[in-house]
Amino acid sequence: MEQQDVAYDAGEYIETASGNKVSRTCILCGSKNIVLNGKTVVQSACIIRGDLANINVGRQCVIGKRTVITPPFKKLSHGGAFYPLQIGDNVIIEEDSVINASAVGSYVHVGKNCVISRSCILRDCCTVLDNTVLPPETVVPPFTVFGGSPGVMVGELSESVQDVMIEATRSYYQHFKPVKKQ
Amino acid sequence: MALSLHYLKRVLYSCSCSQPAPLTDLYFCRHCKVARCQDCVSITVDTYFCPHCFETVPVSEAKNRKNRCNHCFQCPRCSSTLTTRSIIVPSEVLAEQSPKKTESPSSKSPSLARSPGGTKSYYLSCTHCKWSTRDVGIKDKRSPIDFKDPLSPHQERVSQLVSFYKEFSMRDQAEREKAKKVGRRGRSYGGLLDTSKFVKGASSDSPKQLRRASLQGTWNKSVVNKVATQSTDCPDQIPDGFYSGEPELKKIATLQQRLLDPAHQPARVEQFTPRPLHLIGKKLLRCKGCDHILLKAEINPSSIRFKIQQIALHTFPQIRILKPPSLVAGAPCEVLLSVSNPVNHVVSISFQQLEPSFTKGGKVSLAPVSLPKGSYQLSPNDDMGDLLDDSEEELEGEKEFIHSRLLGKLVLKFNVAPEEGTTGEVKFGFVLSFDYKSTMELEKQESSCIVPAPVVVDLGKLTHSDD
Repeated sequence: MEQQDVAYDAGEYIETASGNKVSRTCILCGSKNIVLNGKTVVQSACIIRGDLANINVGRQCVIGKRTVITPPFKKLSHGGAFYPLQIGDNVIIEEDSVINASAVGSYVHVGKNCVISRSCILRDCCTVLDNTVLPPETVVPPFTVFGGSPGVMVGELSESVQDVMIEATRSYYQHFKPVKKQ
Repeated sequence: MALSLHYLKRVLYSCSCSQPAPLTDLYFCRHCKVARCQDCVSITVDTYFCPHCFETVPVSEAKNRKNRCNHCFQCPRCSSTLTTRSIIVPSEVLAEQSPKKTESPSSKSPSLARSPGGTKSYYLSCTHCKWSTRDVGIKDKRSPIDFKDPLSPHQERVSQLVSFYKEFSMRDQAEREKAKKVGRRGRSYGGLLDTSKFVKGASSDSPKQLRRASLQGTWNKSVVNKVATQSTDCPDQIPDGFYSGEPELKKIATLQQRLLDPAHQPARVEQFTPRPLHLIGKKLLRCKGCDHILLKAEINPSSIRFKIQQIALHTFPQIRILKPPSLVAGAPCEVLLSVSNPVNHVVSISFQQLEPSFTKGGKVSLAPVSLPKGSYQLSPNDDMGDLLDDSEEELEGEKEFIHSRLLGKLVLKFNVAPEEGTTGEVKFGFVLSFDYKSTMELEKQESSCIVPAPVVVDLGKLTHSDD
């Protein structure tokens, strides 16, 4: 089915020059450390912790409601440190997920209510099913599906996933339309 | 979040073997000019790699490694990947330990591990369930690659049998050659186990003759007895309290945990050992019809590029439901379908009714549909298309059936009449024919060929309206 229109309150979202649409209800900590590369939709009540380390989100990503994105923490002999988090292009993160990965590749689909724990690496073209808990330091290889708690490989993706994700993110952005409240 | 990718299975294309599949799961053979599903392609593994450390393993070596990674391990309790943890063992402790080899490293206190000057030692730990190799008394190793999969208890027996049958086969081969030379009529019984015999030609010997020959054969019985299964008078004793005692459920392995290690099948949690991680393969797909390669990935395991990628999504016009229609039983309903052009040249499409044989003798009930008549042209799907002025260009198509025209996309009207008494999903089908031009043919200015693609669209359940 074609992507249906998703109406949003025009007053709720801020649209940047590069086409990013960010909800005013989001908590963007350390906003100067957060880079959205364009045409990315960040929906309401998201928390992005740019105050801990740099967060770089690629082009045409969709970040669902109430998602928390935090850079990964690593324990060192003297205390610990936060490392920058890079999210690729055409990534969909659905509602209520917590992302604490060290890298998220391009064309990745993270389902609803997922926990991507500390220092996980999600390579390009992979899918994490709804309600998955990925244990810390898990690596998700390309063209695989991870699901369950703890998240393990449950399937493989078809080779056309890149085209599917590009189409899905592009059409979502096109159909994400403002509605002016009377 | 309602995403378009949740509805990919609403429109199913039919493969050449008439298996329905979403367009994203199909391949297209440009030599046979037909769609191929997963069952219509021959799959070979191009290369293996570890899903955790991405080490590439050639196919020949993967067999020796039992298709498992040498460095990465899986938790025997929860199946997630184990991580290597290191501690520094002070040199004094090491010196104390060396004469007393029986002492367990798990007795080391964390405070000792932190003292400066010493050797690093490693253990494996699960980040999810917190199981570690120390829990089952596996000693810490000096190197992270020192963890090895324990040998199977049946290893000796299996290798004994393998060597026996190898010898058996060789001896049999020699005997047959000898018999051939002598010109004796009787043939060796051992050829039963030799599969090469069936390739060369069927034997004239009956099983009875072969059995008789086996009894009189020259094979030394002592050699056979060496590998023959020995029966025992006293079976394994069941431990006391096996039936009467209360089971310790926390100490007994689940069936899934036992089957994770088929060689040992640990019955209790104390017997758990880290499992080497399974390798996964990069596939090479070939068309079963013409043996041409349909899909070949790059060798680099983390790469998502392909050297050859012939997927149906790059050739077939993609059909999607524009919006969920309102369906009333017995009344004709207008259904809007969008047809997208995947290529950057004009493609002509037309629609035909499905043949009655497609519904498999009424097993698949399809609603009657009136299709758009005539042929339609899809504008090129070019990224630069919106910058060009193509208003003068007139594309073919009956306006009566066209809802709207977008860049590389056409929305058409279909009239579906769901039958009375439809309980499940309303489905309808048609054959989408499009002209296929391969890039090679375009260069040679050859005429294109028409490729038919049977399509079944699932519109969902009836919209109940009782008024």
